[in-house]
Amino acid sequence: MAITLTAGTFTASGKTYEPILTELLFSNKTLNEDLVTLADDIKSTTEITEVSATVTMQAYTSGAPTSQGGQTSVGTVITPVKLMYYNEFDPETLRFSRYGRDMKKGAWNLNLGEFETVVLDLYNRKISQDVEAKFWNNALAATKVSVAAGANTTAEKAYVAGITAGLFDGLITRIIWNGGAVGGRINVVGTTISATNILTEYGKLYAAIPAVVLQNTEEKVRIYAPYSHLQFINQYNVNPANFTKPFVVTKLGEPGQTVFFQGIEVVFVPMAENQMLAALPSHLMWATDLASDISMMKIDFIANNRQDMFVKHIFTIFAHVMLQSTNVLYL
Amino acid sequence: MADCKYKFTDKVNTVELTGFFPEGKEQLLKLSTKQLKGVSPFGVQGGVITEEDLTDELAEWLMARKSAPTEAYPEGEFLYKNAIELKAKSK
Repeated sequence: MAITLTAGTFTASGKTYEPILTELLFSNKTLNEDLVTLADDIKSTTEITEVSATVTMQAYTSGAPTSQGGQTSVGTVITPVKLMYYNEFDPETLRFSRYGRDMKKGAWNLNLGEFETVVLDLYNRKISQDVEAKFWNNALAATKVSVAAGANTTAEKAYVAGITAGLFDGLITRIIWNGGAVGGRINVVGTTISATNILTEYGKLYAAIPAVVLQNTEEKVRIYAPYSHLQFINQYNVNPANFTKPFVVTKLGEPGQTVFFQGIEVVFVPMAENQMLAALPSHLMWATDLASDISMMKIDFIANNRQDMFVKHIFTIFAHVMLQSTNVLYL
Repeated sequence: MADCKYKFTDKVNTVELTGFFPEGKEQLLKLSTKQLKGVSPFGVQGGVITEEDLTDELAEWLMARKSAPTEAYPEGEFLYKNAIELKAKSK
């Protein structure tokens, strides 16, 4: 059974410390802070369209003009993958713990009370965190085979090889391998990053961003980086030898904290170490049926004649990348 | 990979991954723990490269992989120099 209960020496007449110390978890930052584009209401097969255009100036002629330039519209059909988390547990196990205190009198009553509000809530948040981590890092078994045999860089092959085969391709995998071929991303060869070399490595990423993307006035490019980079950036900034501060950190440790590098916002997501991505948020899509599905759980009895229970989450997800030729992957 | 000429040495650690992993034929994710012997050049978030994943190309890439520079090693240190050896090498 799923509950692993280490109840200590609890007795019904004893006292318990009221707060329950749960694991420290991030909420799902990628969705909560709109770090990528959320495309919900995608129930099944949906076409995502990318449009590009070329224009060519030509000399005036009063005679028959020549058609030059063109418009390209590329449609990609995506189908979010339907997934679930399912866990069974027996409330009877809880009767002998602190969670038994708020069960109503009567042997029939095994209501969950505190267990539901604290422990299952934590479980729920952990799923939200797991989905976010897999949105960034995940790969189908078939994609792992394709990348291993394909023409990707060895670092990209190493990254995909290390990922445990999952049920959909994560965003970084989609950037690496897309539409049955090597992704059209701009690749920057990466190395191991620490506070010592973080400026140099961010400089490589910055230099590879197409100038037109940097000049985009409608939408600002972002640098997506692993959580650990915030520590490296702060360690870099407090080193007295680094008298210039290329990383501008405001409201450090407070709500609304921001980090900028050369005028580009750096956002921290559960990416793997030693990799970064520079892209417009509209190019990175989290497609799903309903965004709130991830935080919705159903708890019920397994059957009418039983008192053990289940907790179940159902949702759909698809990581999609657009206009690949402008996305810079440091790996 | 059967045709890889390299293998991990005994000095490679076992990494424990905890998370929701696919189980069975259904699209079901189950919370569990996996013990995998291998290396994680992209941190645990990037998983573990096990001996099964090794190809000559990956093994040689890993052997060339360096740490970030430090005062003692301004060019970085080889991270996996003791982790990989030729299969033919006798003990």
